[in-house]
Amino acid sequence: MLSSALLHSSIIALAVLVVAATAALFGHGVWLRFEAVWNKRRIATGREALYALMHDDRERVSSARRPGIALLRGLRPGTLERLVLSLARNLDPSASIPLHRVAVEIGLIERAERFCESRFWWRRLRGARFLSALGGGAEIMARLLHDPNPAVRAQAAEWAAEDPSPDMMNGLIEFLRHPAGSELFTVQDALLRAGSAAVPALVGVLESGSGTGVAAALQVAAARADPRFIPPAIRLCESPDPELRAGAAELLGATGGGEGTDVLMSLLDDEDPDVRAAAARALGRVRHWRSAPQLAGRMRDTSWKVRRAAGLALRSVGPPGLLVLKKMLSDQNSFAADMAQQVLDMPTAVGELRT
Amino acid sequence: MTADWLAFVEGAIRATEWTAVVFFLFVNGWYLALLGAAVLEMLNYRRLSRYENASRLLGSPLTPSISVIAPAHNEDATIVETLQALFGLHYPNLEVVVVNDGSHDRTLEVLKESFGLKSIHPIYRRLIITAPVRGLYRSTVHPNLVVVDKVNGGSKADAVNAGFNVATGDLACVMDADTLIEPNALQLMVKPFLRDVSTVAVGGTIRVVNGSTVRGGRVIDARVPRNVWAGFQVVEYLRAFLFGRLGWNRLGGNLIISGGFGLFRREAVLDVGGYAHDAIGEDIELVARLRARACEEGMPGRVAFVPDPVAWTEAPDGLVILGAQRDRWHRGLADTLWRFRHLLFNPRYGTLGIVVLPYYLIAELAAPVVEGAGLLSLSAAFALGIMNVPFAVLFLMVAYGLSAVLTVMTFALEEFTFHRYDRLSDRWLLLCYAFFENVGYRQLTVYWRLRGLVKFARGRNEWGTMTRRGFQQMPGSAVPPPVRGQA
Repeated sequence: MLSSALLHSSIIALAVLVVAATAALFGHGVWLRFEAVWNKRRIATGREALYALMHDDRERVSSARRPGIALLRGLRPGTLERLVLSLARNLDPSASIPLHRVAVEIGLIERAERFCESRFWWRRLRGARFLSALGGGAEIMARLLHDPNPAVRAQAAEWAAEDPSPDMMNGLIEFLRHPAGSELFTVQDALLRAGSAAVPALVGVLESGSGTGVAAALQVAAARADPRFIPPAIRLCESPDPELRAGAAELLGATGGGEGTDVLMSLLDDEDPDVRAAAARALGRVRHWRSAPQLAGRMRDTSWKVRRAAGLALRSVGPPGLLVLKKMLSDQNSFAADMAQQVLDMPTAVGELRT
Repeated sequence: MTADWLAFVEGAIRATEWTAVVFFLFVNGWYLALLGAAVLEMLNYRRLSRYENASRLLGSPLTPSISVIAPAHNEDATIVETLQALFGLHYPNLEVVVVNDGSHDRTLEVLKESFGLKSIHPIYRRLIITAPVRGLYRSTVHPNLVVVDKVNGGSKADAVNAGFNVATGDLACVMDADTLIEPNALQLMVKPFLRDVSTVAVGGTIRVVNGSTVRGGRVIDARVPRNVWAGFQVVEYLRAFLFGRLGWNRLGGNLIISGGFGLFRREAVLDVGGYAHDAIGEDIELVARLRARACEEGMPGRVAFVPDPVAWTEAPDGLVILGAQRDRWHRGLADTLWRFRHLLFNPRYGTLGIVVLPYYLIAELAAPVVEGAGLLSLSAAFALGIMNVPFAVLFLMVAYGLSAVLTVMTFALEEFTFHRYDRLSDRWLLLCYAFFENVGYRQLTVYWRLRGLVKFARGRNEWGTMTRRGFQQMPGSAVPPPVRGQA
């Protein structure tokens, strides 16, 4: 089965591989050191040139700008990209316009747009990340929102937060409705960062009342807490889906105001423990002291999470809630008394942190 | 009679040798496939990570909350620094649950003094049965610190389960109290959960800290240890994480998340009843159970691996403790395979039943048996004068040469990606360890693993103790001198 000739050949092949891998191991280390020394001055000079170009407010490319542009173009593409990106992510929005202009002049935007057209997903991703940091490429990024690769789509979603046009917002909402394969967190975060521009589209999803995407939209809406979400949230409190009722209760707690409190109090008697707990948390969050007796009733709930949410909510509503909690210490229901004791024992900041 | 006996022995030796050859071809074929898969996976990972904006995760209110569960048994010398390092992790939504697992030293008192602990009524949701909890504490200094004081349950699993009962985060990070975690570790580890909602557990690369310089609970200068035993383990860890687990990640077969540092979806762990108290290798057992349940009930069960070095651990630098550790690891593997024997070659469990568990059975569990038998038969054949010496030498050269190739390729993978060992002298040292581990050390590991198998067969499941030497300090270091703790 194994001849000596075969073993000899194997040994030679293995020796060649070992030598090659060892050479790569040491060669790469030496190259990195050489590059660090060689690039250090060029990066410093490039950074100075970049700053100078950003602060030069002449509208058109003048002869005075050309040396700086030539110097930056002379840097290795990877080095130049890292230099510009490190700056882009630490700038306030007002300074990003001059940086974008420099990026156009030195050809980085064009290069990124070219990458976005590549047939390789990793190049499209690289281009999309560059455009997300520096701006531009609206048309391309709208197309990338439907890219076959989920990472590229997610990057386009991240970009959309910076350019919250109705079309892009609708594109993000489509992601919420069909989240398979996409990075749901990125889409939700993009909708959140898009600010009030995303609210009409989110209200549209919540108004639809059912289907995929509503629960994810409720999470975004709760983090955004815009009063326009209140009417659909109140309607969703009557949804047959307990996940949606719980999400709607959380949303009402986040938006505050008195409109939803009656609905929240009714949800304290919901059949689903997650909904009851969410309603208790929401009432605590809006500090609705009138609901203290109902919350006290939930302290006797059979579900731990409801008892805990009710206890912490009572603590949040202030003196009336604390009074109820102290009375609960002598409650006949030992579960309620225990929970009241634990909630009262907690240091001040804890209840605020986790409810 | 003598001639018959000699013929029988010769036949047995030949059979053993051919078994070893077939085994060699099978295992090394797998290793090469894993290395190829690891290279592809690393390439993919690097492409996904390039120019990624990490600040999105830090600034979002939608970022999932994480409870870090740190069991502590007689850790009064290290616990404050460990917690300070945890509070310094770059993650926005963090809860720290320390479980004082029946310490006989001043662990609880030190915690009370340092973090202003306030006793709260000790009720909690007892979803997993553990040894009794004596008290619950919340910190007045760090509102996100919870301390559970419990009776020692005889295992780390019991302590971690008590932490799971109390934790409130969406995800739970399980660690050893003496593990050093990189500041951005949780950011890296949470990404697979965000990318794929079916992810239930994520492991990361753990490196050996021996010889490296530590300051403030952080590794600031990674070095290859001068102690040979620790040095051999650096080679093993690099191989295990960078081509073993990364390769399996590509093939969808990750089964091990180190007990030293792993991130889990909390509800998924609670649903399967937490860590098994009586398991010897509780980390591998939990992952196997999560994956098995996913197959049985059609639940999410993806287990992912992050190749970035996220945590550092102190490796034993003496033969006795190292041997005990390897012996226990092998018993843990045997125990898990025995518990999940109904999954073996069972198509209902997909990759887990058809590929992963059979691989662990043949290439990992049986490896010391085959290798030990091969070495014994070689010695016997040599003694009886029936060995084809040139052929045997050539074969051994191929076998150990292939092992060296896999190791050096792994070093190259590390060099081209994370590049944590910057000095040329460290690379030379790594190469030396890679070549010399085959002479003596490898045979020792065969012995230790065989010992583990024998102990498992006899039903012995002790853990042993780990003597720690402490980390090489820099001025201002927050990591204290040697302590004794559970291995």
